[in-house]
Order: sequence, then structure tokens, then C-alpha cells
Amino acid sequence: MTNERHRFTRDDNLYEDLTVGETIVHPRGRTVSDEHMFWTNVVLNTAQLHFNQKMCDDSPGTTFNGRRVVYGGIVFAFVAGLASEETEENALAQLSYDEGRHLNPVFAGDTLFAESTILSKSEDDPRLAALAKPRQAGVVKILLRGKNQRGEIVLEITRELAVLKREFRP
Amino acid sequence: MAQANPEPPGPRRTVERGRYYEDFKVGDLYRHHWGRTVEAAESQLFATATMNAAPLYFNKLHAQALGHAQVPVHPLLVMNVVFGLTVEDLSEQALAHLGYWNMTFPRFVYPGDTLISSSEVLDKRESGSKPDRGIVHVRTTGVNQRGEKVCVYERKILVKKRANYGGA
Repeated sequence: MTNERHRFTRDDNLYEDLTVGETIVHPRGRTVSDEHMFWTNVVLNTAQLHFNQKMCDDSPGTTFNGRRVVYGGIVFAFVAGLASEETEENALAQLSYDEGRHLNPVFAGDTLFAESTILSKSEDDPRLAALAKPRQAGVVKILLRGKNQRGEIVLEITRELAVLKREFRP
Repeated sequence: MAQANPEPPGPRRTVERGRYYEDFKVGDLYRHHWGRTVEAAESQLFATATMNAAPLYFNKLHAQALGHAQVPVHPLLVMNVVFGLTVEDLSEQALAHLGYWNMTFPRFVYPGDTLISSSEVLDKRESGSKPDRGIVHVRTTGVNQRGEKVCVYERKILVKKRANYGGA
């Protein structure tokens, strides 16, 4: 046994490690299965074009040619998850998302990938003062993009994270 | 040869949910009726099932080291729960959800909190290319059981016109 404290995050994704202008190509892809219907229902999303194949069959003109489209909020969460180890693992908080667009539909069987472009960094953002550890983090603005197996962008959105500085990593 | 199913003799009332383009009025406020308590197990499941690598949302020791008494609920689960509560009023009949703007998370959500959503119609316009549809712009606000804002965002929705797609 040791009394040495265990650290639960990597040491290569702190505020100092995120470089403005750089695009991070995240390491993993993720194939979406019919699991998306479970999450759609769990969050009480009642839009049937996500989970009623008979309705889609009967209404090809008002659905995605009769295919059950994955609810965008779950595409968003899956893409953010793929990007998380390089961007969010040492974040104190998610401050904002903006300019978010679902540019192409996602269906079960598609494989998602993520890229993050570092747009800007700030150590004196006033929102940092409201956090539990105000001088321990900086704000990083990121363009998050999700792509499918054909390289088509399915989601793009900007996000601001409050990311810990290296010396304050717990 | 299959027999037709015998139906009960009384009148039938076929229910349809969701609004069409004509049903939205700029300035209307919808108080979405359900509300939803978020529990620890589903919060942990969401973070891990979406491959979210931030231990803040699945490791109590790490959350405590960052100043939290409990493991907070991932903001994108908060957003999805707040969003889900709005669908019956906003987008159950929609053709597509187009995107998100000005999304913020004014407070953390913790297991046991109950989220309640409301939405205001900010704008609506007809599609420039297809006369059978229009775009509705809303602002949704999610609050906790104390009425404190936990997630606010704007959203644009592509919706059918009742004139073209019927409905009662």
C-alpha cells in the first residue's frame, strides 16, 4: 500500500497544452447502433421520426426518406464524448456552446469521428471568477466538428471550456 | 383469411401531438408539463456510454477534489433532458432540428435535482425554398426545483405547415 495520491486525469491536456490554431484529430471513432433510440426515450424526446419505423415508412417525404434519423442531441453527446479526453478531461466546467448546426443526418450504422480546433484562450475571462477555483483555470474556445465515415461534417459547434492549469491539476 | 379485429362500439378519438408552423405565435411561452428528476445512476451511465473521459462526471473522488460534494450531472445530459421535455410542444411534428445558439449552463445539476423546461417563440419565417414548411426560432430555459436556471439555449426547428400536411 502507498499513501501516494492517485491522479484521475492525464497530464497532457491542461490549459497550457491547448495551442491556438491547432486542430486535434481525436483518436477514436464510434459506430452508432440502434442504442440511439434508448437515449431518445430516456430523455423523453417524443419525436417519432427517431423511433417509429412504420411512421417513417408511411411518410418518406417528411422523414429522412423513410429512415429513422438519430436525435441530434445524442449525436452532439457522442461527438463531444469522442473529443473529451483531449479537451474536457481536465475542464472545471462547460461555459457555453454556440453556432451549432446539424449539417448532415446520422443513421444507425454510421461511424462518428471528432476534431477540435482551438480558436482562442483567455486567462482573464470574467466568468472564471464565478467558478469554485477562479485562478486555477483559463477559458479555451474550441470549434468542435463531428464527421461520419465518409468525412462529411454532421455537427459543428463552438464551445467554451474552463480548463485547469497544470499546477492545479488534482 | 384473417378476420378483421372487432372494435369496441363507441366513438374513436385518434390523438396527434405536436405543433405545425401555423400553431406557433411569436411571443408565446410554453410551460412544458412533465419535469424530470435526474438520478445518479443514469447520470453516470450517460457519461460513460457517451465515452466522456472527464472523471468529474463519473468519479466521486475526483469530483470532490474539484470542490463538488456530489458527482455533478454532465451538462450534455442536462441539455438533453431539458430539450427532451420540450419536444411534445415544439418539435414532435418537426421535419428537422437545425441547430443550437447561445447555450449556457448557469449552475451545476446534481443527482436528485428535478429539471423543468419552458420555451419562448422568438421568431418564425417561411422557408425560402419550400412553401410547405417554415423555421421556428425558440429560446428554451431549464430550471431546477428551486427555479434556478441550469441550461438556456436557442434552437431553430424546421416544421411542417398544417395547410400542407393536414392534422386536425
